Amino acid sequence: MLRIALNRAMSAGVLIVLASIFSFGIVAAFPGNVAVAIAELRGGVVSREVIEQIALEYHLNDPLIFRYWYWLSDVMRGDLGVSLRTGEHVASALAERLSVTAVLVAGGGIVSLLVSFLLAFSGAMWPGKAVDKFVHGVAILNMSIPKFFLAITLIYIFGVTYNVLPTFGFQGPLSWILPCISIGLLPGALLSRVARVSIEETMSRPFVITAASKGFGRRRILLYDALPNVLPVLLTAFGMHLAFTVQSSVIVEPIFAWQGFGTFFVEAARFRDLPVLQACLLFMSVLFILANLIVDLCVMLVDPRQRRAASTRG
Amino acid sequence: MEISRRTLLEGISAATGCTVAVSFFGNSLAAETDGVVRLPLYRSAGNLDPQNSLGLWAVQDMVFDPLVRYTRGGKLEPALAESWTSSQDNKIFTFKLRPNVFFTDGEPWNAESMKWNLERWITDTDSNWLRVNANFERLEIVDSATVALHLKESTPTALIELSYVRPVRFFSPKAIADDGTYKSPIGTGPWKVEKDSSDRTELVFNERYWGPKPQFTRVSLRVIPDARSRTAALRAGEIDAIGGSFVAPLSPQEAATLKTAGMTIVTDTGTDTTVLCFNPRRPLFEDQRLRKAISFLIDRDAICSVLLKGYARPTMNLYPEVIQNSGQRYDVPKRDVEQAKRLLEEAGWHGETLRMKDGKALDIELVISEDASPGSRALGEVLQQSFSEAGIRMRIRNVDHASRHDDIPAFHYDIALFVTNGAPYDPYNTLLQGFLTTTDAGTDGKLYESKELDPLIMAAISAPEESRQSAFQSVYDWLHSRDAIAPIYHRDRFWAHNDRIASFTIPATEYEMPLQGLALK
Repeated sequence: MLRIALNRAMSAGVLIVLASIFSFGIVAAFPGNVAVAIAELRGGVVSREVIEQIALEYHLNDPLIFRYWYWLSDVMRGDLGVSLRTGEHVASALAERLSVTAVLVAGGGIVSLLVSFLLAFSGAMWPGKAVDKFVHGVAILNMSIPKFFLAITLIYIFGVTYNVLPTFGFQGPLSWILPCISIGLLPGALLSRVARVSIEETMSRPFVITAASKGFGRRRILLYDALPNVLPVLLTAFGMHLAFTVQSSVIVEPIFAWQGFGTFFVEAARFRDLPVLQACLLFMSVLFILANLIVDLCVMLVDPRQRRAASTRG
Repeated sequence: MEISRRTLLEGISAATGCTVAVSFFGNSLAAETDGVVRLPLYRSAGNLDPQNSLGLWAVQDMVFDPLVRYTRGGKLEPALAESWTSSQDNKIFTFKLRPNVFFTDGEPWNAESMKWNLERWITDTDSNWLRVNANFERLEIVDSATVALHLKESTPTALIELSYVRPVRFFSPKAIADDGTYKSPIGTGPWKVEKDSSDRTELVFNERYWGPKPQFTRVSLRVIPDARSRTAALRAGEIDAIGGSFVAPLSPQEAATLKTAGMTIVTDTGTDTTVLCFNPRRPLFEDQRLRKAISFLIDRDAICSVLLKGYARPTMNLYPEVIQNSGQRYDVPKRDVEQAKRLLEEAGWHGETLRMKDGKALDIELVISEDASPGSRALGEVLQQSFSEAGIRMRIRNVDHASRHDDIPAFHYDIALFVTNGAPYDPYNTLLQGFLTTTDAGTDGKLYESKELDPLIMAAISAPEESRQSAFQSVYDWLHSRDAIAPIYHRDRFWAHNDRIASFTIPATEYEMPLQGLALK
């Protein structure tokens, strides 16, 4: 198991190096003169001399490979640079923003799990019946609604019309409800379909028939026999969706005026704040890679078949 | 009735849970709003150092006072300078400083602190776009309450420039660390920063403020980047007003929606102009008949009434009347396709669906940036349709903010939309930066350039008071008679507020908060 974990970690390391090249390269390839953007952020009417001076100051005229090396060396020392827009240190600003996004991701994860379990198990309890069809319809509807539309609709209903929840801000549990639902509902619907299909497949297996022949009820079989078998599939999907949730924060956070990772990223993109953009992209790439790694390891822990298969391959 | 131990414990737990939940959730909703004005910001206030350019102007204006304050129509009123005089040749400006004024850290405002502040930027090349910087000679402390500013050349713009927010505003010498870096926002203004974070800035009234006391004691600025969320928050009563180009932009469509929802919309004449400009370096546009034909094809009335929901006025002038020395009003022509076609025929452009001349199609490119100027795509599409009716094919290239600042100064376009600087910068800034061939256009580009126009602009900006109006008029007449540019509209300034606000006045410039004249019910 340890050997497998090490192998996976090494692959993840290679991927992280590739991700760093990607994060740096994609931002460096942006259209528009970066020096102009920096000069503009410094304010006033900017002359050509000032723009050239900035290009020298930020090594913008150096070959890309050198610029990548300067950046990587700083990143390795934990220095993600200074925001061009606010003058803050990117590492500390990112850490501060991530604490806000953590609430969103955790809340969204809880909503996703609740929704997926509720929908998948209600459908599985009465397969092919009206409830199953209704649940299927709800899941499809949830998947079809764009997050921004859902967020605005929720704000309109609960904030504007009924005035029972705040429309924006990060000011206590009540203000967390709408953002967490906005971000968690879609993954929840997707997960419910994954779970529902897996349950259906599991319920046709011989051990389920054996359990039913022993006289156990459908609910008991679903919870005690089918669920442990569905769990690895669900965990894999949930892990991936958790990483996607961070990505979705880019849409949800600005709508609810949460100063988290998503807003940080959007504002950096808008104002060409390159150090912030590079740090955010790197963070997102690393998060995806690590989420995959952790999910793989968790699946191996809960599913002996996967463990055996991996050790045979490894 | 017998209650089991289990039921009793469950009851106590439920009651405790409910109490905790109510206090927990209740606290998060209950916010003290008495005497508090709540306004949104489209981004965080940022570093408020007036010489840093990273902060929001309007918040800097709340904390830091000017020497003289720009008011409606370009009139200047005393602020930290109680009075001032200027020499006949506009080279020496002498300021009598307001007595008994203190920074919020207790430091006194006097000649020394004024000199210290001005010296931080007045010789800095980053600020040489200001005439007062470019022409600076020396500062003279006449006495502890009098300072004379000596300039090398006549600078009639000096006083207006000294009303700007950046980099001019004054802060406490103690607000600077030993290494010269800025520490905290300490000014003499009506408000002092109590809390500043990425999601909000809280300001309280400065009890030592020398000016009038507002009816409220606290201003809570909440960062709401999304325009739809701002309108929802206003409707839900969580903020009190929305508006201001650099505070919390409100589009004409959003204003119309909020009006329908029962909010009050306050409007005022705008101080800027949206102008369609022809690339002066493209030989194609050397022919005035083509420029005039394009101008005739613009349906200014429809753009203002439909696209901008009535929150704009059609124009043929470079500046609206509210700008000082903005000149006589020119008649705004009705859209005239036949006249445009006739002009194009005269200019040698023939054809119906697509006009040709010497085997070349009349195919032009409009560069817009929806990112830099929201609404420009819709305007571009209206123009595209209007031009096609006279056989002009127009392609729209939408670029991002940074690319616009590459392409426009480099003249990589056929036609482009520009917006003049507005108050307090105009009438000087747009002419100096956007028309004069001898100045660097920086990131904004040139609206038009001609060596013939340069002496007229120079004469206007250095003209003494008595001949200033006619000198500016010569510039405007030169541009108008040659159809050098095609002004389209002056956009109104508008704010929406809820019924918590009893009275509301839009400030003189877009760089201020609407706090003067604001009263809560």
